[in-house]
Amino acid sequence: MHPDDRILRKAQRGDARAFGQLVEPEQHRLYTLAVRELGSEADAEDAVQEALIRAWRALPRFRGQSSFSTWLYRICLNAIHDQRARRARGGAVALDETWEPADPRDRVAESELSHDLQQALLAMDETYRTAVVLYDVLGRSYTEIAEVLDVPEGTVKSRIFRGRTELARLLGTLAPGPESNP
Amino acid sequence: MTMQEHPSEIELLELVEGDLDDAERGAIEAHLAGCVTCAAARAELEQSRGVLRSLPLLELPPKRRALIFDSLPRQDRDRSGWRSPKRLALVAVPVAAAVAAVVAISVSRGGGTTTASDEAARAAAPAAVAEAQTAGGATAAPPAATPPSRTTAPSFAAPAHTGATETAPAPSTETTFTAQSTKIRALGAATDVAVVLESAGVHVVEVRNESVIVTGDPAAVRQALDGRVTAQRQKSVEVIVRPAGS
Repeated sequence: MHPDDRILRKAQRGDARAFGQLVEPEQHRLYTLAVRELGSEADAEDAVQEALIRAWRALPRFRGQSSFSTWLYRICLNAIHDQRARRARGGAVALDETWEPADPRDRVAESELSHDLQQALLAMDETYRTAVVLYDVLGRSYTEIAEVLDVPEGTVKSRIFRGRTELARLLGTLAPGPESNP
Repeated sequence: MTMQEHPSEIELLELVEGDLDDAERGAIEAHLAGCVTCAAARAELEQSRGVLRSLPLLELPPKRRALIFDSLPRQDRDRSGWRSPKRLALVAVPVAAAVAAVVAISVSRGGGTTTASDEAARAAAPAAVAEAQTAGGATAAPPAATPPSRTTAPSFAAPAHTGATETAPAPSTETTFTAQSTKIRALGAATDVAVVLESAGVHVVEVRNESVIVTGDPAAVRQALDGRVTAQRQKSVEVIVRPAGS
């Protein structure tokens, strides 16, 4: 994505509305990434907030070597990393407590399949999880992911392979919980 | 054409993703017909692909979005610099002098408010503030600083004794500052490394092409860099850590 240069420059000069326009196309994907990485909507909101504030602060230094969205994803992944570290320091919270859709409409959307899937995602190797979430959930291309993670495309493909096979095995070993029968 | 050897992970993924031409696909399909292991891997790839793609895009709650945009710090960016003059003054002071000002800043910055420390900084080190403000944006250097000497480079290449792979403390050769600096190799472009450091609460004083100058505790700086994603990791920059106090 190449944001309109004029909007970018306005945002770089401190125009928050212009910044909002730049972020708009990616905000829900960033949030989805954070939810899947952290397994908690509250933590994901915090991580996205932190990422956007960091991006806002760093925007004057954005020189356009990468696309704006690539740059944003990278900042977001770092904010997610930090949020996870904060959470780890604050003590572990059981998955069942953290993964609780707040909105009743989300409850409908989140079947027990995706509950189990979310638990499996959290159990995955972080490197592989990030690759499959970016590729399969967010629909990013190999090229974009390679740019965000700064690894060769072959490495991205290999991580997707490993992420998917690991996930399949984790899903296969998840015992059905008491509520998972329809 | 038949494929005797197992296809690679990448080839199997490309098969499932439909990225292969007919000849390549035919060869791998022929192998899969007789190889339980590869056929199982393919099934796993397809199964996970299906469940992952069933996950919906989640909406950032509008309330939180509004909160984020309301809480964006106001920034005076009329000047060309990468930080506003006020913040530049704040970070320039600990480098410059005045122990009282340094203490005031390091205590108050943690809370995120800048007014009190700014006042303290101005009171305790008027000269440093004035210099920082007139230095003008991106090229503003710490007062009286000289560029890091390129001749010191070989000492950074020495392996770190602690087993940390990318860090190698080296004594400063810069005489401008009385205390020792620590130099840490960081992977990535200087601007990206600066973003990572700053967002972890490290005081970034200056960003140059091949180095980032910060103040603080070297261990905290290493921790801030650990595990972070930066672009252009084939590059590396020198993070020059100067003591904040003492």
